[in-house]
Amino acid sequence: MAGRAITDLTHGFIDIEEGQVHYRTAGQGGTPLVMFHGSPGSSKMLNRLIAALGETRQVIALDTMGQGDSSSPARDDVDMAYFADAARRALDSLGRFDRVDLFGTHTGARIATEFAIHNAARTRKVILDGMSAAVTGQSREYAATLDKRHLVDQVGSQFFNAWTSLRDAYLFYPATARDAAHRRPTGLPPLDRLNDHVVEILKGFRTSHHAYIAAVTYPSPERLPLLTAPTLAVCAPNDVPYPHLEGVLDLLPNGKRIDYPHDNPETLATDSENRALAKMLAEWLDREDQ
Amino acid sequence: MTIKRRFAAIDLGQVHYYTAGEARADNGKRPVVLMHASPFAARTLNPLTAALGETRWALAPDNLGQGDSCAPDVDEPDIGYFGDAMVRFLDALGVERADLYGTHTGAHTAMNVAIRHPDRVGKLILDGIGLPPRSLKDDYIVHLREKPPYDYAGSQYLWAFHVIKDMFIWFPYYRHEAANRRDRDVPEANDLHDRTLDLLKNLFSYHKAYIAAFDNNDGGKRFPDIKVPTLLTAAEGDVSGAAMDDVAKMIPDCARRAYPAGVQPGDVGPAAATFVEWLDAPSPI
Repeated sequence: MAGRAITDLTHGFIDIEEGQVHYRTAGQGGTPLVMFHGSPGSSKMLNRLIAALGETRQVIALDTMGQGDSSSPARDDVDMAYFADAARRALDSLGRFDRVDLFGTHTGARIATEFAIHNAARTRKVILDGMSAAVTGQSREYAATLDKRHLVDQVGSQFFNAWTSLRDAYLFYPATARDAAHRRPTGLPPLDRLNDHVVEILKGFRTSHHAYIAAVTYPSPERLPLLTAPTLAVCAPNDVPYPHLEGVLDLLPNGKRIDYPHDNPETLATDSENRALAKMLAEWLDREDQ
Repeated sequence: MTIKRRFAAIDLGQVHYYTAGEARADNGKRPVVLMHASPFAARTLNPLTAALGETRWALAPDNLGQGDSCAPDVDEPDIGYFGDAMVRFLDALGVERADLYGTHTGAHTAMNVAIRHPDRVGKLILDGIGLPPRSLKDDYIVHLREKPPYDYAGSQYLWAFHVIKDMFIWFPYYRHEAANRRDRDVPEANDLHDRTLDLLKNLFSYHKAYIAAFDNNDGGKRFPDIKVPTLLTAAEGDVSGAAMDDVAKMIPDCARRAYPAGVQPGDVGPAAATFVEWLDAPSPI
């Protein structure tokens, strides 16, 4: 929570046509790894994984347009291809990234998929965490609720809203079904992590729904078969999309899975669990025999 | 004028800043560095930064422990600590000499830089700096040392929101009686949101620069040490305005201007025009 913690990684801004892209970076050398976070939130939620993976390679974790410290999307009716294109333009502006590895979690997994499809020649390997194999009616219903959650007011209701909504996202799935039948088997993360996450959510409170809605309505059954790069599908067993993992593998032309016994790296995983996950991911990325 | 966000690296970490205008434009004008008030961040100066960026390179850094800059590495830094950080910020950007604008806490920081590094400062604009009695300063400091609530109920969110809102309703902001009412508008919802967020980012560090400013310049004792041309200014209705006559007598080379409105979008024009005119006027040798 202390200010020192946010500067453990190096921050930067990249100028693109519609504004600025904020990123966190660590490490040097190797094939650069570009990381995409979940919604709503920012690359701050990945800071421990960024630091751990940064021990073996250059890592660049972008805040999605409309979230964290990145500018709003160029327009309202954006899809996942837009967010992937904004990321591609940001990388082109930052330097020479002819060959990259990708990691994406939840919304970020959709962005990584679109990035890989549209930039197949420069995508080496892809890691998808928390990908879904279907668009359900529940997803569309959820998207409709997200569309109404982006107003701020002079009584500050958004602060209470963001805090309570994130707490409930740990407790219930869907977060708005607050009964015993929908209870998730998880507790709350340490206070600092929960608080940091809510602050990041509040940064994008007015604009994060664009990427979030595009993510929950993302047609992965149509898009995943187009992802030809070697792809690793992962998901924490207590994470909501875990039951989709086999379905995701069925859709991927070149997919593998590894199981990790830890919690989601953005939320409940401890520091040592993040390091252990980073080690598994790094080994897969560095393996020659794909 | 488009504003961009950037980071500059100093030894402690990264200083976050907003910038407008041409870097090192060869137009004979020094860069201007804008230093913000507590517990806010440089974002609140964006309209002024953009307006000054029309004619020169304008840079508005977040104080250490406020906005998106790294936090101080000591528990009780004095104003010189924040002044040093600003000098290292200038070093990081290769700025040898700049004009400084500071408002409230920022005025104390800018004054500190001007006194200790007169070779680095062309002209100095002090906005909203007064002569608060030590008893009031101590009262503020006691209050600012109290730790904010921080718990799983999210008390910190309600706390931060009301601290920010109360800044516009009371003076001091933590005294909620009729006698402490101020005649100012509460910011609109988006501005209120952004100001609250800047406090929430810095729950355990925002107070450091704030306390350092209150602990500085008792009885105006630092004012006579300012050796650079100085413009003393305050917005109409600013609590420090009442002391301007007395302050002006204590600063050796002092001009005075009041400006009719704040430095928020929509009313920044008169303030910016006032500052630009004074910055561009030839200095007496």
